[in-house]
Amino acid sequence: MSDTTQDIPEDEIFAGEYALGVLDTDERRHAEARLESDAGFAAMVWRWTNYFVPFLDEVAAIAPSPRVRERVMASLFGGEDQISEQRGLWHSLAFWRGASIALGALAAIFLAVMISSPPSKPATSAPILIASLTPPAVEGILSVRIDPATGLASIDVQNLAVEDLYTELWVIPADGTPRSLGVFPADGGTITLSEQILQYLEAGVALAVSLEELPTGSASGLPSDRVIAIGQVRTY
Amino acid sequence: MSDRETIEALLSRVTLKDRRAFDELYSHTSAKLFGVTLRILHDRQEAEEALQECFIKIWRKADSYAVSKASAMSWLMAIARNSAIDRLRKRREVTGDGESEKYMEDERPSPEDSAVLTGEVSRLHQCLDELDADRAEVIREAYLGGLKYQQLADMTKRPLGTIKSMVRRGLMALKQCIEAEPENAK
Repeated sequence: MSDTTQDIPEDEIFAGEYALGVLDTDERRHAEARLESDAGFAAMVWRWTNYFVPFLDEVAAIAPSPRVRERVMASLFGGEDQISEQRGLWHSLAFWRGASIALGALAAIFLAVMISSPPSKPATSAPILIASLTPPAVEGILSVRIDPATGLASIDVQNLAVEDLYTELWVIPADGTPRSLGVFPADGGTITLSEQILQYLEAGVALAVSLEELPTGSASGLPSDRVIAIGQVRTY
Repeated sequence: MSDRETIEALLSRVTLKDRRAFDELYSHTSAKLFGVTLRILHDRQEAEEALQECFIKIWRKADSYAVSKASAMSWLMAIARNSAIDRLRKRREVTGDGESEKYMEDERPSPEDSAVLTGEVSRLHQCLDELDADRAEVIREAYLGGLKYQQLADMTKRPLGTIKSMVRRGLMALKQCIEAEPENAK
């Protein structure tokens, strides 16, 4: 077993120290700032965090007082029902041909959706939507860029396994009813969006990708039960 | 469906702001996460406040789980530990009290609690066994207690520099050992 730290990058040690929890407050804030801005460093921290999880076996499970749950729920959902619209989001997804959506399963792909203003456009133009799908369990990358100014959705795909099926992109707006943006080539391409669809594309709505049997997409107007990617549009 | 798969599926649904999934996730994980915050804070009320913060963060920051590449339990655990550790640091920094806590309180869980969430005998524990006993123990205490270097030095009555060096060398040896063989699971 090696007894030196010389050949290990300083960053790797710092990431390990943060995940272990030995840093003081200033150093922790420094590490957290880097977590936000440096994907390489974040990957190190998460790798360490995963390594340490078996320590959980040494921690006894102890039921907290029921008031903790009450306070959490009251703090998040108390008062007016401010997220009832978002709540419809999942229920509409669940409605998509039952419960067979592959969330958390091998084929699940998450959509991280962001909105940013294009640097070269005037401030008044609509924000560009960018969606990047990071598959946690399978190889493959899918990212979506939607420019309301041109009405084009550009989809970048790498190594996505879709068998002989067709990939269709959907938006699930606040009313919970999925609307198709269109079918796109499984190896990437663009979709021209209608004015009507563009109205639905805003922060808070969900995007999803389904696998369909027909080259023209779902015949029923709703996604098939094979939804391989979902995610929520958010601003950052 | 195993506990682990259940938790991953629930957390994925929480990223979509599914309240019912959040409630279920609370039922499945709150006792374990409370164990984590209590172990670090040694105070029921403070540990409950940290747990409350932790679940509020879980709801609000769930979308960052998808891009973190962490397993669901790692992610949840990191949030619980960070909530507790920040509280612990604040407490110590306010009172200037670095050594009067009962660090060594060692409540090992009953066998039925063990390995429920993490499954097989872990690579971590195999590799800790290969480490110098002192280093392994310091790393274990640091993790479970959320202790910073100075507190580890006070606890073990060793100079700060010695402790830092022990932890860093221990970490690197652990990394080499854990990565030496393919992991069975994420």
